[in-house]
Amino acid sequence: MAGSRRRRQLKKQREQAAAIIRVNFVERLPQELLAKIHDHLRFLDRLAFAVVCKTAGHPVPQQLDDTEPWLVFPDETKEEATFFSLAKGRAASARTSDLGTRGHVVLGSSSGWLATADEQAGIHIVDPFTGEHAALPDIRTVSFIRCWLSSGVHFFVDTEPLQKIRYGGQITRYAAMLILDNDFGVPAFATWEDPAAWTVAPARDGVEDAIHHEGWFYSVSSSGAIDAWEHKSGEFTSKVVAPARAMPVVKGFHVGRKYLVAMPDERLAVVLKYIRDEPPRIYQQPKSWACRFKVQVLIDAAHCAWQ
Amino acid sequence: MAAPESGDGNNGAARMVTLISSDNTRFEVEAAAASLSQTLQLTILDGGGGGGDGIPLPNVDSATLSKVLEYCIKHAPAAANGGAPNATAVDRAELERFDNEFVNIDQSVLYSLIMAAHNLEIEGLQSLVAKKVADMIKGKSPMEIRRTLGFPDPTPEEQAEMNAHMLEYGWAYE
Repeated sequence: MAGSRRRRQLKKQREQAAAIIRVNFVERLPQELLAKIHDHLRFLDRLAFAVVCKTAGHPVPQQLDDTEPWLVFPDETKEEATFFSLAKGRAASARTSDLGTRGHVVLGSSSGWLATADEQAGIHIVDPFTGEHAALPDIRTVSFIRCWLSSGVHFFVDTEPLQKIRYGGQITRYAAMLILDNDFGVPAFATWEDPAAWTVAPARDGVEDAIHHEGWFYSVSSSGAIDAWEHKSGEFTSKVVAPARAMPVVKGFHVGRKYLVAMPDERLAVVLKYIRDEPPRIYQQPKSWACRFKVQVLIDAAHCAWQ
Repeated sequence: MAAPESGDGNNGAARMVTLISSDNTRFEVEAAAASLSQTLQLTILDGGGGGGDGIPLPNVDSATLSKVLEYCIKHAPAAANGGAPNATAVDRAELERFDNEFVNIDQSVLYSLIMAAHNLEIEGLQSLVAKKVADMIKGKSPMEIRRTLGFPDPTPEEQAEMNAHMLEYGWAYE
């Protein structure tokens, strides 16, 4: 009998202990802490946590604001798409024709609105939940965008009006640099003095990328050298700013491309793109690849110091 | 009751402050460690907490405060170093090991710690406990999360509400 009472007491103690341990976090935690927990979760866990928060009478954590993107899952067979708004914590399926988005591509999202474009370059904004949608002005109303109808619709930039708008006034003095195909890497120049033709310039090795910076054309060669291009008596010639050098090695990767950029502080930098082809995991899997980038900033051209 | 030792023992002249828990236990701790709390930082900068005064913390009991100070003392040197950009990999690994063990605690203690980190505004500790709760949630269904976080079993109304929400998000799990 005494043993039975003792067991009942132990059971009661265990139940009391369990009641203490079973703390209901969500109902008691401040909103900002829920948001912090939310920050550490990935998408599916966020959804599950959002269900728990909602059931506990808490709204979905507040940091899911309007800057959160939309996710759009097009249906492969039906003319339907599922739209998920992280901002609103809601998903909706809708017929794309009802929303006026059939055949559209999604350009972006902001404040709960999706921006889409169709094959004719008509740009629309749409709210998939309410079905509200409106057309924005046609891209062809931009004066330097031209349309070309030939086996489909093609759009291109007419450079002359673009430059007039961008630089103002009439273009009277200009110079342009063109790299003739990545494989050849041959630079060509055209100037206002000879507007009729491109002139090919001699280059020691292939030019991979070039920029116009502080009144000069700079290029990076396949060997990593940086050249500046000088225009004298109708010809462009290069002079070395930084000589060729060995590229840093990234194990398992090879240098795919080099890009030349000017940093905000006006120093030149070379962006090295390293590529590794990934072997297919299963038979007939499409070829995939991985890439990494290294940025080398030229900190002292005179001493060829790179960072 | 004394606070845990800082362990480095090389700054005997460091300024000390006294914190008083809700159950009137006094903790003497280095000002640098206590200043990890944004709530206490201004008071300490103003010269408070020294001498026989002490800073009362009516929302934090002694067991929790002891645990909080253990965290602050361990993290104070790195925080003084501006987030320890110069810390060695060994130092960082040691702090990570400490953090992992630190949150390996009972749920009721974890809850008290979360509330203390929030009330005292200790940024690093808030992140650490939030990550711990997130780790408890990861990979679980809403029902499993409820059980993990100590909800009682749902009432029929709550169950219906959860089902409705799950329908809303169900596509994501297909």
